[in-house]
Amino acid sequence: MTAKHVGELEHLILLAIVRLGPDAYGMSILRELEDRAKRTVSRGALYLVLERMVKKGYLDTRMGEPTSERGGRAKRFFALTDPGREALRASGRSLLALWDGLESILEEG
Amino acid sequence: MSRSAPPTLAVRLLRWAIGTPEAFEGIAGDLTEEFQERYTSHGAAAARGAFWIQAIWIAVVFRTRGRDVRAQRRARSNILSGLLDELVHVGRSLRRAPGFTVLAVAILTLGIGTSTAVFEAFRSVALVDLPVTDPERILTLSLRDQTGAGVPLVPEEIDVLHGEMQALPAVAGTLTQPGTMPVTEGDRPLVLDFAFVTARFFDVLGARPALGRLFRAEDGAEGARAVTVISYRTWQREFASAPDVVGRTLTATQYQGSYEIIGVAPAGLDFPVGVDYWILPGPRRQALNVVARMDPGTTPDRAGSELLARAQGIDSQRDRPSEPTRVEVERLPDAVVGNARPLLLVVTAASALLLLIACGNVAGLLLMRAVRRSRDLTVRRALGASSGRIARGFVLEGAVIGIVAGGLGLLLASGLLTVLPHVAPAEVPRTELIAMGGAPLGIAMLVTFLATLLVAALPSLAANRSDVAAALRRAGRWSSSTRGARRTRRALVAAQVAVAVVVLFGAGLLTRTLQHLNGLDLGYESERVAVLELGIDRRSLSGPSELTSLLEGVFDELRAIPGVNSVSPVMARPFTGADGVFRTTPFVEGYTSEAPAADAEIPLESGGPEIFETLGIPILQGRGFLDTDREDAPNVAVISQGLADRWWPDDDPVGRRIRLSLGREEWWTVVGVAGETRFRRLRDATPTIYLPWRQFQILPMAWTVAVRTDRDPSFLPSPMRQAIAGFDSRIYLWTTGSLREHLSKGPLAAPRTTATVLIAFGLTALLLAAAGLYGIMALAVQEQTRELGIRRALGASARVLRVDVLRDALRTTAAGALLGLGVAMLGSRLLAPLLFEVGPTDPVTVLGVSIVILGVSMLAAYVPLRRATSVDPRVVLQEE
Repeated sequence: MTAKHVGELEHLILLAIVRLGPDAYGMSILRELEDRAKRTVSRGALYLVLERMVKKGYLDTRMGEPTSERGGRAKRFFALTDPGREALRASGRSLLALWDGLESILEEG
Repeated sequence: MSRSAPPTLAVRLLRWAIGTPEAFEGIAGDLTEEFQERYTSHGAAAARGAFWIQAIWIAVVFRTRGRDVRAQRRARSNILSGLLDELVHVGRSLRRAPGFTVLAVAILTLGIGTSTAVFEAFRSVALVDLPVTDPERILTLSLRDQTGAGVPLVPEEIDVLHGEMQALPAVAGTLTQPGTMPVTEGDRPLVLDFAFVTARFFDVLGARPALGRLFRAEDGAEGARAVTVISYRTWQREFASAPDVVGRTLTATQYQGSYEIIGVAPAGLDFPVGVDYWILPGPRRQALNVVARMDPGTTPDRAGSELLARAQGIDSQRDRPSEPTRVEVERLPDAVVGNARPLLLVVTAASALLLLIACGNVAGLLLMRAVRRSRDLTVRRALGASSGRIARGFVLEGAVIGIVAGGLGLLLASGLLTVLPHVAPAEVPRTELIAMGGAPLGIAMLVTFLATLLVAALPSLAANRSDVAAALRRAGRWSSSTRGARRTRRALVAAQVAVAVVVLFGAGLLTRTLQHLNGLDLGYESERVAVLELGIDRRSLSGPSELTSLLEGVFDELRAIPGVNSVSPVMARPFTGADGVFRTTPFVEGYTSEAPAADAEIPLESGGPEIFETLGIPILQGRGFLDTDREDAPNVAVISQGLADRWWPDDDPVGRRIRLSLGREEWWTVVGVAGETRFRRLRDATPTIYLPWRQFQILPMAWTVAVRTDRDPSFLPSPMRQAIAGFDSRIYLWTTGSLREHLSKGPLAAPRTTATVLIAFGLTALLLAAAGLYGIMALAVQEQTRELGIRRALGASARVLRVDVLRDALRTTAAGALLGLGVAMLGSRLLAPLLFEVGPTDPVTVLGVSIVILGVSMLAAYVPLRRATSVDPRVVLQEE
């Protein structure tokens, strides 16, 4: 049985969450995508995809402590589940397999 | 450091949109964090603005796509959302073809708008119940003697009948046709028609007042205050619906009476038709017809017999019995709408046909569009759209056009409905109801629904699924249609031609009627004659001789106006109908008493010495009237040719004598014979007895005067008004109009209106049918371009090719025209009551319509054809 794959935006978001580790919540993910992947993602899309992946079982959430700069609201942290990790790995492998050997051509292209 | 909070409303929006509390907590927290940062760096306004934008954006995203994938899939397969997708697509594709869309919507709007307006007018006038209790149980009954002459009853006799008959428990009296007399409200002269009714009239009808009250039994008692009830239409038009109209007074100068307005009748109570106000006559003075409420357990026939029996009893007690022998019974709704029904039916049928042709046309446009778009459709099919789905696209396209046109049509109809009451001829009753219904939403929706059904269903029927599929499969470089689709398009055009022929045929018959009516030999001059009516305040006159000298004085004043040739009093304004003037049954000297009875009642006219000269009626034998034919001279009469031929076919009528039942047992010597005229009725000549006005006067409703001028009489009103005002203050000019105007507002109005409407509808239908034909010919030629090109290359001459294609068009048109003529000849019976000296199958009209329709069709076909055969064959073949 082949593992489930994820879409491109899901892929990017999952990678950002892995990079951020325990500090992955909405704002930090958004900044990570902007700084590192140079991708501007609308908040609507980001939150929607996050919720979708929670429902799919790719992500776990945990609520942090309420803080005053958040108007007394808690942060909602995200972390990959095993199925999430599996899906990310499968998608990554597919991408890499296709990338293999093409880098030189595409870079020059 | 004081921190500001993000907008509460936006936060609430988020909570509502996101749903899950945990997700909301995290997202709202994130946004608040960002809000605080922006607050310190950019200020409150920027922070709040950004928060709002983010919140709305997130809300939209979560609410529109924020369902899980499986739910989305379910929604997509949902029919409704599929339809929505389809609608969006239809809207887009219609927007991409603005020419087509605008044309289709315009044609359908025209059809829906006019037919909605006409249907609504028909409904208001003919179908809305009269504002009375059980209208079907109210009967109008006219007694007649064996010659057919009416035997009216006086109010006293009618009141005796009330409560005495089993079949007709409630009885009242009314004039069958309103009369007219000068009235004023304050200083304002009003031109209004009255009807005499008995005091029980409104009780018998079971009507309720719109304002004030209606008549009560005691209003008819002798010595009671004179009162009147005005019609709703009069209240609107003459009194601007003023609530304080009750208590005002109408003054009738002629009768030296004043009528206090006690109430306003309900809207739509137009009985007798054309009435503006109802008044009560004295108990013995006025002859009336019977209107009565029928017992539910009986029939009109039985009710009529009972009335006849009772009336014969009453009649036998009279000094001079009239011997009624039969009774004509009509139900109230027929009495009110009956006369206008042919006109209403014809216009309604014509507008329904116009709607039909508009639908056919738009359906044809849709079909052609389908062919033009076949390549686009092939792509859609290749992308996975099922042929059923594509067919649904057609239906939706038709539906969208239909619904948009329905909305616009409703606007058009509302506009037309405000105009209609003002252009409707006098025969149409109850026009005040037309605009009162407001926008006819229900009718518009129904019409739109039917039109949409036609427009949407026809093309999908035509290009039925397999057809579309076949067309799609073949759609390559030569976008061509299947034989089936082509046949359907042809049938559509043939149907349009047929409908156009039907409407044109009606228009043709009415035009010929109008022509005949216009070309009639009237027997008098209609040009350069004006007819005026004078109001006279008789209260200040001492007696008949003073009235006579006053009138002679006015005639002299009028004669003195430059441009006036001659002046004569006449009995009443023209076209009152033969019933509208005083009639008598003459006794002819030398005949037994039975003989003249065959002549029933002959209308009387009275006039001065210049009457024949003024009206231009020729004196065929003997003489006209002289200045000396006065009170003190022997009685003289002039009779019309028809009477002379009837009474003395072999002898000279001049010098013969007749006796008239005028309550005076006197002989009148015939001194002359005048030509027959159509002065009382246009459609046939009325045999007439003329008497000198100085020897015979009845108290007229208004003093009517004919004036002959040496030029167009339109200059007359102002010098006449001056002359009359300067002569005597007791007399005033009430109405004035040329004989031509009387003719065109009176007997010519209904045929002209019907003819105009039908011509307009007919030309529109012709134009649409021609456009439809042009469309399919253009398409057919386009489809055949390659074939034509090859044939040309093979040596066929352009002429041969043209004839070929033209024959094709001719066949379609001829089929439609034949069908149309067949239907038209059957349907023209509907028109028969409106026609005059034209048969419903008039050969001239048949020929004319055929020539017009074939000519226009050939023209419509020729243009695309020329284009096709002038194409260079090499160019066509190179395209391969």
